[in-house]
Amino acid sequence: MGYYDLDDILADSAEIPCKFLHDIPGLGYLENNPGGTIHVNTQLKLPLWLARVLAIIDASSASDDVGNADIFNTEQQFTPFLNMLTPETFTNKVINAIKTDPISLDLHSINPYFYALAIKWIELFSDKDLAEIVSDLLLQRSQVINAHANSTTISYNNNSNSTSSTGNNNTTNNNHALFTLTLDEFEKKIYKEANDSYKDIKKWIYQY
Amino acid sequence: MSLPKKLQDTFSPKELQFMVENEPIKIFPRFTTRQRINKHSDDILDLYSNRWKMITMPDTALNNMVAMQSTTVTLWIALLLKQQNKCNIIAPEWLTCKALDRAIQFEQNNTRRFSPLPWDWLILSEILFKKAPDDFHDPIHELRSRIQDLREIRQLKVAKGIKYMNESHLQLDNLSILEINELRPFISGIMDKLKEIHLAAVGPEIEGDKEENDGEEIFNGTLRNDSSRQSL
Amino acid sequence: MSLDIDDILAELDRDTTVVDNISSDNFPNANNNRHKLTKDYSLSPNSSLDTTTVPQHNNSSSGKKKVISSIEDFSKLMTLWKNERCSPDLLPYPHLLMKRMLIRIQEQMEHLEILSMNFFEAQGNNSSDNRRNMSNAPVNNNKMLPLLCMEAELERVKFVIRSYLRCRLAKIDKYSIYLRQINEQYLNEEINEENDDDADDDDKENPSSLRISPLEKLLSPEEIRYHQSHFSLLLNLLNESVLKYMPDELQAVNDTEASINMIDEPDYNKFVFIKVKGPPNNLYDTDPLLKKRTHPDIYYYSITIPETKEDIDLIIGSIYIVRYSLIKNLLLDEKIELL
Repeated sequence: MGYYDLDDILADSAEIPCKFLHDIPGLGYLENNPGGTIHVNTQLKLPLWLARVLAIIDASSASDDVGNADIFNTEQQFTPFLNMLTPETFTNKVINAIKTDPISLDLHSINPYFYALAIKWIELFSDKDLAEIVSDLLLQRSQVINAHANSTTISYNNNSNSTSSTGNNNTTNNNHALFTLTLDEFEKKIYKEANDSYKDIKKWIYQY
Repeated sequence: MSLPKKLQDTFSPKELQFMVENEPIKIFPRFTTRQRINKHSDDILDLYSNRWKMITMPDTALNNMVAMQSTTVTLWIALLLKQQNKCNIIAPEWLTCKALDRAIQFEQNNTRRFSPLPWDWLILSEILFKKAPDDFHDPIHELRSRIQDLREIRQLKVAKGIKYMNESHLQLDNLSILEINELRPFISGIMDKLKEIHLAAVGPEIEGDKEENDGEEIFNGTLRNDSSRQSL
Repeated sequence: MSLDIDDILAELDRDTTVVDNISSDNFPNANNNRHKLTKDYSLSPNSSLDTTTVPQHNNSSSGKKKVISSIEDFSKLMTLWKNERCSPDLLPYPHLLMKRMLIRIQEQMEHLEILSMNFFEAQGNNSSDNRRNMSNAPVNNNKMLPLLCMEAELERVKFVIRSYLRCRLAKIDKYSIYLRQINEQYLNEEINEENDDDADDDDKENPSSLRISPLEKLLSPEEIRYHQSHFSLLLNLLNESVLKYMPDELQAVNDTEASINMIDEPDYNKFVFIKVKGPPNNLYDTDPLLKKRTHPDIYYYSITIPETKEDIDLIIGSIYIVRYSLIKNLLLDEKIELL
C-alpha cells in the first residue's frame, strides 16, 4: 500500500482505454503522430496513473487558469480531459468467466496484479458490484490456496486418512507448481506466507 | 535488521514453545528440598546454595518439595528436573485417552465450534510426548494418534470455516496458540485484502472529528486508511 | 544493557511508594491458575527498596502501599512482548516496569555470583569454566540444581527483554520518518497553544512534569537516542545518494503535493488476533465500557465498524480477529491481549 510498494506501482501501469473529450494540440505523440493534435473522441490506451489524473482534473478550469473566476462558477459543467473506459481486465467476458469458475481461472494471465488494479478501479468509480464480485472471487480462491499451502509437505494430508503418500510426491509438487502459475501476485504472496507458516509448524512438530 | 522479517507480526514455533514452558504443571519430585530449620547450622553454603530464589515464578513450592508429594512448578523447571531424573511429570487431565476421546467427540458433533482444549494443547502434548514419554498412564502411541486426529479434524474445520472470512471480524473461540499462529498469515492476509476491497467501494471512512484530536491520533489508533486518495 | 543502578534505585524508591500506574498492581493474570500463590517478594536486604516493601498477599487490601511482585512484572512483560510483536504500531514503553526488571536481573546476577563463588570455593574448584561445563552434564549434586535453574531463568528473562527490544527497534527503523513527523506535529501544536492548560492530564507517569511529547511517551530515552541517530543516518543517506542531485523542489522526503503519502505509516486497520480479558483486577462493576447480557450472564465490549456502523460484541474470554484500530484503546487499557 505504501508509496514505495512495487506491486502497487506496477498495477498503476495497467493500460486503460481512454476516450478524449477535447482536442488537445501537441499531444499527438501519444498516437504516433508527434507534433499533431489529439482529436476529440480519439480512443487510446494510457497507463492508469496518467489516465486517472486526466480523468479527474477539470479541463476547463485547468485551461483558463484564472484564479477567482472559477470559484463563483460552480455551475459550470465538469469536463475532464478524457473518460476512462472499462479495461480488458473487467470486461463482461472476463467477469462472466470469473463468475462461472473462479477457482480454476488463470487469474495471472488476466492480470498479474488483478486485485490491486481492481481495488483502484473500484475506488475510482465506487463500483460496489465489482467489489462484490472481486471479494467473492478472492474468498473462493482463498480456500484452494489454503488447501494447497497446507499440503505441500509430506508429513500428512489433510483430506484423507492415509498418512503415506509415497510415490506421488512428484506429481503433487508438479500440481502445486502449475497451480501457483495461475495466481495473481497478491495470491502468490499469501500462498507463500501461508505455506511457510504451515511448514514451520510441521517442522517443529516433526522435530518433536 | 534488529528483528528478522519472518518474526515480525508473528511468532516462531520455538517462541510459542517458550511461552508454553512458562505455564505451571504438576510433578512428583523425587527428592526433598524442604528443610528443617536448624539454628545451629553453620553450613552457610547449605543455607544459601540449596535454596531457590526465582524472579519469574513463585519459589515457595520449589523450596518445599517433598519426594513423591505432588507439587506445581513451571513447566521448564519440570522439564529440567525430568531431564535430571529428579521428578515425574503428571500429565494434565485433558491429556488422557478418555478425555481426548471426549474432545474428538465434541469436534465431530459441533461443526462450527472447537472443543475447549487448553490454549497450548498441541505444543504441550508434543513436548510431553518427547520429554516425558514414560510418565503417561495411557500408551503413548494411542495418545499421539488421538492428538493427531484432533489436529486433523480441527484443520478440516478451519478449512471449511475459511469461507466465512469477511471484511469485518471473525470469532475463533478455543483456537489454540499454535493454530492461530499457523493460520495467521493466511487469515489476516486475506481479510486485510477483503477489507481493502470493501473500503474502496464504500469510500474512505467517515472522517468525523478527525481535525480535533489530530495530536492524539497515534495513541488512539484512529488514523484513517489512506483517505488522501481522490475518487470520482 | 547498561544501567546506572543508583539513578534507577532513587527513582524506584520514589515510584514504589505510590501505586504504580503503568503496571496495575494486580495485573490481570493471563494464566489464572498459574500464580495463585503470590510470592512474598522482597529485594535483597541492602536494597533501598526494602524500606518501602510491604509483603504482598493474595487478597491485597486496598489503600496499602504495595510493591509489584517480580512475578507480576514478568507476566506483564510477557504480555507486553506478545502485544508488541502482534501490533502494527509501536506501543508505549513501560518505563517503570523495565527499570524494575533490570534491577531484578542485576540483583539476581550478583546473587548468583556470590552463590557460585561460595559454592565452588567449597567444592575446591575455583574456576568458573567448570561451572559452564557442568551446565550440560547431568547434575549429580542436588545443591547444584537451584543455581542451574536460577541461571536458566535469568537467560529466559533476558531473552524476552532482548526480543521485546529488538521488536521495538525494528518498528523504530521502519517508521523512522513517521515517528519524527508526529513528534514535530506535536511540537508545533505545543508552540501554538502555549497557554492552553488542559485539565485532562493523563500523564500518569510523571504528573508533576510538563506534558510529554508523543515520542517521550512511546520510547525509552535510549530508544529516543537510537531513533534520532537512525533518522539522521537515513536522511543523510537519502541526501547524499539521491536528493542533493535533484532540483530543489524535488528534494523533500515527503512531497505532500502528491496524492499518496510518501511516508510509511503503520497499518492501523490491520487485522489482529485478540483475546478479550476483561477489566484489570476483575473490576466488572466499575468499567464503564463493559456491557452485560443476562441469561446466561455475558460480559462484553462493543466496538463499531466506522464505515458500516456494524456493532461487534467482544465477549470476555473469546478470541477474535478484528481491525487493530478498533481495539487499540482496549489494548492500552489491558482489557484485551493480542495473540
